[in-house]
Amino acid sequence: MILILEGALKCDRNCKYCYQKILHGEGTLNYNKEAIANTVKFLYNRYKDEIVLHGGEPLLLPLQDIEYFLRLSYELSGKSSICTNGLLINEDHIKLFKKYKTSVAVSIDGFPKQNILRCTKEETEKTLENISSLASENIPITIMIVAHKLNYNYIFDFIISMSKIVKHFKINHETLTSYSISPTILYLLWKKLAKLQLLPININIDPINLFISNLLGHEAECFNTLCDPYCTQNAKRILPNGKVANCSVLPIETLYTFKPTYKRYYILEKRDCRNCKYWNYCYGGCAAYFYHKDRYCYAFYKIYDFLADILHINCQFREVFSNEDNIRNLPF
Amino acid sequence: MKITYEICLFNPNEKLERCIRGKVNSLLKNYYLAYYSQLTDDSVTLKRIDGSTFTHRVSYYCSKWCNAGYCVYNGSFFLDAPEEDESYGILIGTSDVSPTPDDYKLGSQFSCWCSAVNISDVYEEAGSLSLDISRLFLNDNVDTIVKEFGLVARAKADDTTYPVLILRDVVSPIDFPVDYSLSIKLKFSF
Repeated sequence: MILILEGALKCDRNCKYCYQKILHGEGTLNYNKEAIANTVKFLYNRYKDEIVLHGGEPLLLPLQDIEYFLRLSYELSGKSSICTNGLLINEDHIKLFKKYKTSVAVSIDGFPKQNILRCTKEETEKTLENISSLASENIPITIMIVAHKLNYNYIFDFIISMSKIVKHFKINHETLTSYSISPTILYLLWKKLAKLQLLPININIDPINLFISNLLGHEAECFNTLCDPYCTQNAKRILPNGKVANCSVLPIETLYTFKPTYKRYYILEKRDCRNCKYWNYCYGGCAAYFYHKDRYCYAFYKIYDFLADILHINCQFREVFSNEDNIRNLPF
Repeated sequence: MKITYEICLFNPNEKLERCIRGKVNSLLKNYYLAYYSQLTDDSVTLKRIDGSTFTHRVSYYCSKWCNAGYCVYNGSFFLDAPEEDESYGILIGTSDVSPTPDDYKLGSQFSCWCSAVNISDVYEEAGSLSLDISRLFLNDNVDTIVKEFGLVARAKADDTTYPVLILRDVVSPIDFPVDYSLSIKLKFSF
């Protein structure tokens, strides 16, 4: 993933748990377009990664600069992507999204009462209106929800409610502040969403699908891969000066090394994750924990256990896919 | 996943005559393949109800990064057949031949007026999540005996969809005279 300005751009919100603000400060609106474009081209030609205009809030950029970056992505890859809080979306943005085949990820944590760590109830209602506008124009939408203490009980209802117009949801979990939920709560949330995902309905919930796909032997990305803290292959952030930095969830900002060492995994395999039956699926979770396993290990282990059980017992995948080694070798 | 069925017969005055209930045991190979495709984004080969095959791939792409990315997801297969459309949705038939995993059509489909397929919202019940799919049939054809039902989905293939049978079960025979109506409800629970 090539992330233009992620963690470096200013934002118009003041989300209480914002990891970017906590780790990297307030952000800027000064940037070198040409330097960024050169880096995007270099990275895309080398890795063919998705290109995402990120932030902060990218819709704070002048319209011509938004178009500049979306067009750049479109010309390289035939599509583009943006990550926004959704509040500032207007007709001009929608025209650009249609023109450059933009997939729009909107960050919102739920109904107005559950979104108060991000913005006011009125602003949430405006964001929901904007999501409807995007949907009515058939623009691909992802709703990105951060699970925290104030909303985890309502995420299921919110997804059901939004599923009439949005088909893809990503659930992240807050990890840095007192609003973070416990590993047990996270597991219970994932378990409920897994049940929802496995019913015959046409929605897609990450990370549940990622866990399942991973268990079925398909390559995962981001956490649950051999992501090196000094070379975060899934998140290459382009800074305002055009340089490339590592994933912004790392507690320190480092420049991208372009050479993964996998030292983290040699250590974890012999220490924190020794003898774990899901090691080859999980790899200790997010690399932001460097030489320790993910703080939410319990949730990862339990959800893998839950899903592995379902895939084996209920779906009889082994019988149907008897020729697939990955299915036969499921860890149970 | 547990699937149960409820079949109820109503006389011409809409009075309930009888209901039978049971567990559905026969999700078919088509279903598991489509399901696998949905979960992994892999292409699979499905068999249409006319016996021909096609390549099915869920028309979605989602970059699996925890924080954003390009994503298009329009769904895998569709069950929401409209009124009088007997090409997909819940269907009924008169064959009592036992189902096999490779079934791709009903043993002997019975044709009559049918409502649109009704798909409920997902709801919570006793610690499980459930989803109901139901349809009403009104016999405007000839007296018959219903012995089987099936669920046909329209599955994606590039820019079109094809009907594929994903579930078929044989049940205790139910007399279905002209002007009677029959409701079938399938309940999917996790």
